[in-house]
Amino acid sequence: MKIHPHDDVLEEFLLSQERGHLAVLRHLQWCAYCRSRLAYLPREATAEAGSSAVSRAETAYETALQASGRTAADWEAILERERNESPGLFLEILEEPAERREDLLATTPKLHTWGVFELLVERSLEVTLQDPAHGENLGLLALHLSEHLDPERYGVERIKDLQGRAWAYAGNACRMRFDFPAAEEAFLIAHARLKEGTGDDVERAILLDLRASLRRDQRRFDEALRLLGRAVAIFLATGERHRAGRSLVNLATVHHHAGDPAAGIPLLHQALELIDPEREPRLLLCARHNLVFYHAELGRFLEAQKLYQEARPLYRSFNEPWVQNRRRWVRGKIARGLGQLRQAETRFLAARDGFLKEGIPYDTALVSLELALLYAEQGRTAELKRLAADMVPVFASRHIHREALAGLTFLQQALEAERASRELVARVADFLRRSEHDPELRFEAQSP
Amino acid sequence: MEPPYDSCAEILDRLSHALPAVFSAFGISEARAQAILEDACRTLASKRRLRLQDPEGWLLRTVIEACRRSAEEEKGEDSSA
Repeated sequence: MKIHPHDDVLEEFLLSQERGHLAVLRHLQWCAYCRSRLAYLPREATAEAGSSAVSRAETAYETALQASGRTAADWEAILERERNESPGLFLEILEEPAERREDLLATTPKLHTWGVFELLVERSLEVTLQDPAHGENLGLLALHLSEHLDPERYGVERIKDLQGRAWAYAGNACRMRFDFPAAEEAFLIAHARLKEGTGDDVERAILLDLRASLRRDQRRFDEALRLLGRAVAIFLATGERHRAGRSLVNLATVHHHAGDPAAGIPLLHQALELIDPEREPRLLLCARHNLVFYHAELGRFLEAQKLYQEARPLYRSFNEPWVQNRRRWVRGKIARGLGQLRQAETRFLAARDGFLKEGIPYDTALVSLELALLYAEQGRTAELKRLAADMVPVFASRHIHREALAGLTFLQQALEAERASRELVARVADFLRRSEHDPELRFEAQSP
Repeated sequence: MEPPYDSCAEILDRLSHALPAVFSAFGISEARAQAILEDACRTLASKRRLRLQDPEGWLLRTVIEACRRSAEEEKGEDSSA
């Protein structure tokens, strides 16, 4: 069958199955391992009894299996040794001045190992969240190193796979520092490297997921959704449930950025079923926090409150400013929605001060604008003016794009002239929310 | 700390009933089967840090794909001969 069967055909097929067969079908739906086994089943029948044919086949390949097991064990021992040595060698690279690192990599044979290559690639992804330029630099160092790896020893296709991942992470770092053309180019190279690699579907899906983030930031939402849909399908088909959960969280974020948080909610519920909490508790927190946040944004404050209560132990286990400030922010939103204005103000102020201390200008602005909306609703013009006056210098001194600053300055001037309505505050808040992910967005003083 | 993972030998052991059936279904010689398995295991070992959730399924799929390619290449060589 070359085309996907119609729903009616599938339905008829399911209805025609006995209960036992249905259970097998349901199992196959989620088990990539068993689906793979269908490629060689049913085994060919011979004139002899089936079982004796199978046992003959097993015997025939026994030597191959045993020999492969031994060779694999030797190879695993080599890689384990390289991995154990790699953190020390990684430090040696970083201790060298930045401009000398490429030379060091080229001229130091002890660095030419899979362990160091792999560690550079991993660190590239890890540090990108805090420092995209450093993340990109580590990815590029990994790629320099890979030019000196022995292809006979490590295998050309395996090197290409990891080069593909390194380019994908470098592209992600470029995206995070808003260099979209460089990100695009890096992702294209990543794709080309993977095509020359082992053909591993998991690597392909990792790249699709990262490219989707670029499309999201470029506000090409349809493409982002399509790429993530493919990534989720591949991850599920290959048994990578946790990664599928991560892509579903990203999928929900795309809907949120596109202004449709409601569409993200079922995806987050689906993600929560798939995420392995022990493997990446932060991803679990992210999914649950977004669920609370989206409900609050949709005005479903009681539901948001309930979800928050459920997530409270998880929030507590991340006693770090990045998490706690977001927690205060969403609690402030819920309190405001439930009419608990004093609590809302206290929480927004705490979140704003926390973001300021952490040096996160956009989130400082967004939470300040929530506070501004609260003041505007209560007609507290003096506090509004003070708030706007506090915000502008903070923004002017940080790395923040000109248009966002223009929006804030406009609001400040309107407040000074006592012309700022609640609608204007809401409009600037909406603009800043969108401009965080779209540096090309232009602030217009007049409504269209 | 890295979580413990099963060695390739352990995974091969668990697949010891399925793999011969795969090789047999695709008409793969024993020498070729060993080459396919060694290559697949090396790739799996090189991807350990990816923390694949289903390494058994990954290895089986990779072997099936390699057998399919090998069988197709052989068929191509036969028809061009």
